[in-house]
Amino acid sequence: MKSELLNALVSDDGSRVDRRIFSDEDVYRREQETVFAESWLFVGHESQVSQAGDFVLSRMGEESVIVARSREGQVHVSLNSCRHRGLPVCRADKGRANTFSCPYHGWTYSCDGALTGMPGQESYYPDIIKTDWGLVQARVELYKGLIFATFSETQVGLEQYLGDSRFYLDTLVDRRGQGTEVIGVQKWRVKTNWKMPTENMVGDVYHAGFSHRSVFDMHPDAKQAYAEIESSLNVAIEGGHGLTARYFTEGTPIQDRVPCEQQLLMLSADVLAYYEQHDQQTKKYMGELRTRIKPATSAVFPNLHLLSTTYCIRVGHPVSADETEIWNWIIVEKDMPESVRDAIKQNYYFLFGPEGMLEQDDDENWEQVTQGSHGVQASRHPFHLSMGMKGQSEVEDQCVELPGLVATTRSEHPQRNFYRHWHQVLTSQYGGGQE
Amino acid sequence: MMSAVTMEEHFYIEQALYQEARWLDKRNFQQWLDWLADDVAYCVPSRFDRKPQGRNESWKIDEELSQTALDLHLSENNKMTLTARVMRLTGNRSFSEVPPSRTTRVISNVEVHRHEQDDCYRVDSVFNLQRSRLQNQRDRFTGRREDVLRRKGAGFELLQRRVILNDTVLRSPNLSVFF
Repeated sequence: MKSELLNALVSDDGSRVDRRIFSDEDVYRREQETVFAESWLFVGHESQVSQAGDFVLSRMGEESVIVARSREGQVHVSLNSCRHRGLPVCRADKGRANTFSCPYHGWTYSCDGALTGMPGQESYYPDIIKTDWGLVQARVELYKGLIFATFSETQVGLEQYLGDSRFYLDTLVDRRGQGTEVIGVQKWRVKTNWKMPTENMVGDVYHAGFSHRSVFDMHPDAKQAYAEIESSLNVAIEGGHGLTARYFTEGTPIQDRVPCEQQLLMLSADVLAYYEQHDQQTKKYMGELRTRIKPATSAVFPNLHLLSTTYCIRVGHPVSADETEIWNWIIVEKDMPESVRDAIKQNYYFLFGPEGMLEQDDDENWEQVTQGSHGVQASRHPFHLSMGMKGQSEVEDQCVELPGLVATTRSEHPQRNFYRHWHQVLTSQYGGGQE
Repeated sequence: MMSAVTMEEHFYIEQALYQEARWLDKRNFQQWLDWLADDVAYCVPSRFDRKPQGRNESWKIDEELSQTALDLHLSENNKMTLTARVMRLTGNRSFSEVPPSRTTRVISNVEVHRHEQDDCYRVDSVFNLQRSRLQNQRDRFTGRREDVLRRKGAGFELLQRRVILNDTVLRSPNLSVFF
């Protein structure tokens, strides 16, 4: 794709987005060289690799990586590709191993990626310097149990990368310093571009009333339920992150501001009891203000999604320009009682995941968007993302107490923020280089 | 080895499975719900690639399935949640099924054994479920079902179903279909 075309894919204010970014192979290829090569990507949770030798397969963009804990106790993220002929050296989704051997010629690597052996090394490779031929290592940093990795050497540190999104992220992953663990994983493929789920997560409350009306129809007080989520705030955060969250006034009783779906309280009385029991400690630990914030859906650039009220943490891995593989876990506090976990699971199965009654309609929408992004005529007409703007002006911040650009759900500023940032990364010089 | 059932029992149970497949293919969801026991347990585990420990033949399929408190299944339902799903499906407002999926279920390799409980049978079968939707959506689900059927009046009802899919990554945007 010519650079003039690339530069015009997203308008400067983010209010117009070229449909080809959801379907074009050149754009997709360039994303792999820029967005996915340069960003911090979520690859798993510490609880998945709690012991030395524990490993899980994960992905960074299109590529397979091994997340493993070494004998020394460090988490390593290695490209799952033998340095000799490129085969994956690990083909199990999870397990415990001392070494990973390539099935072709038997080159063998340890959990930290070091090349430890080759069959007949003395006669076949008398002079090889083994330290030069370990598995390709990604930079690894942890944020409160979440493992991130990047192949970039120049990307800023993880904390800086997450920036203000940490303020909100903590309401799911670090409410009172007790640690979390993940339950999962479900994996399924949706024929959509990976950006659609992210766009949906950064602040699309608008779709819920129409798209999910089959679920609202079952609600005893559907109008009230929808009015509640509509009263959320949309937040755009520097770095392409964003979310939508409820924000309660001081003195709101705990049962109204629990960080989960209200429906969960009906599934088990233990849920409310759990949050009541820990409310004081939570206020002390993360501040009273943050016990009044209830994020619903969030995205960390580029493809990490949190559906906090259903305890979901998920990644939309790119498969091709119009296919995405979703990996979904539930994230819970380590000391959460079994009864609360069971209620969370039950609620999750009902609403999200491949059989989830909300999810099914989301996945359907995302597939249809992708279909609507092909075609010469359709591609000549960009998408409308002006909601909330007055002319060319971005919406004004409506809550200084909260970090990020905060406004009502009647504004698509988080989506604009996501696409502007995406475009900036795509068109910057690093990675692939301009044509 | 569980004791064998009579040819007649086998015949009627096999017919019940075909009938169930037909109800689902023809979208007779209410009849399908009626065939589910009130205490039905319906589960589709997630599946993983694992490296066999020891020889392959001793590697149990269960090791590849979600089974612990730290795993998520692909689907877990009881009568209430299945009823809600059917209600949604047939409500004409669930866009993932507007227009609805067109499905064909092929049920085969039916084996019937006695269950520890006198009025129950353990029924294994394999299935191939083809789903087409709109102009270009086409999904195929292949796997095995491990059912427990219970006598009810002159017929049977479905008490338990565990669906073991071959795929580790679901190649379908949703599980809006029942196995």
